[in-house]
Amino acid sequence: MASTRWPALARLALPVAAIILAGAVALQFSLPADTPPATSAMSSVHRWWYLGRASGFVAFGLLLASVLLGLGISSRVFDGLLMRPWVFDMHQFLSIFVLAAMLFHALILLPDPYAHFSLIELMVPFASRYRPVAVGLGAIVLYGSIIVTLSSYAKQWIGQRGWRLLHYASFALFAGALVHGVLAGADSHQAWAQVAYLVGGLAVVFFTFFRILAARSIARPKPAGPARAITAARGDTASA
Amino acid sequence: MRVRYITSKVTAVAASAALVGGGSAWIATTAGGQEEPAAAQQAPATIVRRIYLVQRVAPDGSTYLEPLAAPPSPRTASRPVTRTRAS
Repeated sequence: MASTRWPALARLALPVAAIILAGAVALQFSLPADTPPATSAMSSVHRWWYLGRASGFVAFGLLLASVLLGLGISSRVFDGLLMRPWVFDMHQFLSIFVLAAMLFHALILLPDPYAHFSLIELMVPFASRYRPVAVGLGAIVLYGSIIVTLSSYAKQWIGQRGWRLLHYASFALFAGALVHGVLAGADSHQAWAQVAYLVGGLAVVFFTFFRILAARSIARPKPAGPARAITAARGDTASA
Repeated sequence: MRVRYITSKVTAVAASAALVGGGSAWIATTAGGQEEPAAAQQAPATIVRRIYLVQRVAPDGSTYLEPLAAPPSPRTASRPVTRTRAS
């Protein structure tokens, strides 16, 4: 494991710089040299639209991963498979990185000459003339995700209970992202997109139920009597 | 502050970048790349050039469209007259 001492700001700047780099790499990928410029779809003016569509799915995947890792921390479902500190650290990292991915997904549509989105249309909920409810839902998910992520750094002010309540909003935000993708996405009628949404949604539902059941089993009192007697006997033996 | 698990994080970023780039190229070429941005349908269209077509009937009875070299005059472009038998 490589470990380096970084300034505190670098921790936040890393994903932002990375997503800018990702955009540059994506553009480079998008313009294959061996395709005739006049006929290649990606060399057309639609490339911003394609990047927006692809980055939407990547942002959805990152949000899914962040939510699943978060559920893994509380339910301990990954304890046998993954290192607990890694799960916690990656959950924190992905919750920041997904914000950058969401911003990229929204802002990459700005230069699209056909959609003609303005910054206000993309950033102000329900201001878009193109599918206003679906696009507005996406903006709400972005702002909600920012609040939930920042709440982890403001725990000392909002308290454990406030942080927990805000964290419950993650489920609504994930559902909002799913609905945004289905209703606003141009690929929603494609089979692969439907499979992605279905698998993502079912995974969160499954791990949420697992989390609830795990919490109940932890809360349930341990059986009294023989088990305690055995433990006590073992303790006696060990101390003896 | 120490950045832990830097390899995992760089991998996540690189994978995301590759998926955005590769995914958009894939969408463009295979999966629905022919789809225009839906908002384009609402954008005002600019007329670049008007063409005029005339429908003709081929000897075998099939119909086809033939471009006209010049715009039709108001007389030819008028509605077809339905001749009625004088009562």
